Amino acid sequence: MGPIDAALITEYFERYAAALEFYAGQRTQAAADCVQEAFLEFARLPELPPDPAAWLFHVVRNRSLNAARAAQRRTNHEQAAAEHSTAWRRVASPVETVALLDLLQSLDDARREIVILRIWGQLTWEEIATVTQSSRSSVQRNYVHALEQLKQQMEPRECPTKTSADLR
Amino acid sequence: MSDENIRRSALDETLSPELSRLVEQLAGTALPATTVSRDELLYRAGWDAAERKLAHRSSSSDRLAGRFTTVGWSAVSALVAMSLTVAVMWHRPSQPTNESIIVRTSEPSTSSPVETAAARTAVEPTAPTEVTIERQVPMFVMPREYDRSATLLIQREQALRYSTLSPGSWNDLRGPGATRTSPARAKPSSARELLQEFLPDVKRDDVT
Repeated sequence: MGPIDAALITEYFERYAAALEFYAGQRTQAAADCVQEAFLEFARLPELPPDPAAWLFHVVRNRSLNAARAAQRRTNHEQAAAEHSTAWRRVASPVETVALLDLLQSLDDARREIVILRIWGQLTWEEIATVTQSSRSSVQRNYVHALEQLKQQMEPRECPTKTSADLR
Repeated sequence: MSDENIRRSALDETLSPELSRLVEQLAGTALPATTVSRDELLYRAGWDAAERKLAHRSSSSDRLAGRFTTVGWSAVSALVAMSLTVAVMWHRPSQPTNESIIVRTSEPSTSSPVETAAARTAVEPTAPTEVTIERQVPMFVMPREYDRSATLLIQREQALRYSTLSPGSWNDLRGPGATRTSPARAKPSSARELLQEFLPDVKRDDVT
């Protein structure tokens, strides 16, 4: 192997593989393939990039976009949307995880992407702006809006609980 | 994956307590485990690196071999061209080449037969004499000389053929251009007569 050896690949795999697959799974069913190809490309690099995590998310994003476009060419729009929904439910298997992560589905693609990159990808605002090809201020604004939207969607679920507690 | 691992910024500090709690809740949510096999990934990465290393080595050796092949072929072709040039220059005659018909003869006073080159089975001559026939590469020969040379060569071949005939069959021989009614010819008694008959263009002084 080159300058990026097996130990380094293992380290980044353990830290980011799940988040990368979750991130790619927002767009394509072939999320695992995207992650694996991204790590292989990572291993082929002649030198370590300045921010390996941002590099990995950037590559996975491009690959998932390409995979999604290819899938969309193969099927019609409705079938692709159905497959996308199925893939989402397959990834989020635990019940408690599904409850929270399902809320992400209510966000639009751009805001959901920012939340994932920030919370699970642990990228800085500059890195997120680079990956999503937008400005830092736009990323921060969308992030706050996404959190507020999630909070609003969580409140109706919490209301019955509060109501039942109050009744007791 | 907890929120302590998140690189906090000024924006995180300005979030409302509800939003901060939501962020903590999201960060505390475990993502589904990846379906990518780490061992398979490392195996593929190692295999890929080995393939690239091998391809790099083979391509560099191919380039080197190709360079040597080109230089070798250039040298060989240059040598061949030089050899051909030298050979043509050396072979091209500045003067006509000569071919000799050796006419072996004895002393004029003796009665021993004169022998031509055609009669090579005869007794070894004592004093060979050469009759020079110019034979040249056709492109350098004047037409008249070439015709004469060809005639002499044909006649020499005929002399060779006739000298091997028996006396009986000699009478049946008809000369060139003879018809069925042509008279029979007598075999020459000596090689000189034979030569004079079949080499009429050769002057008598040439055959001594």
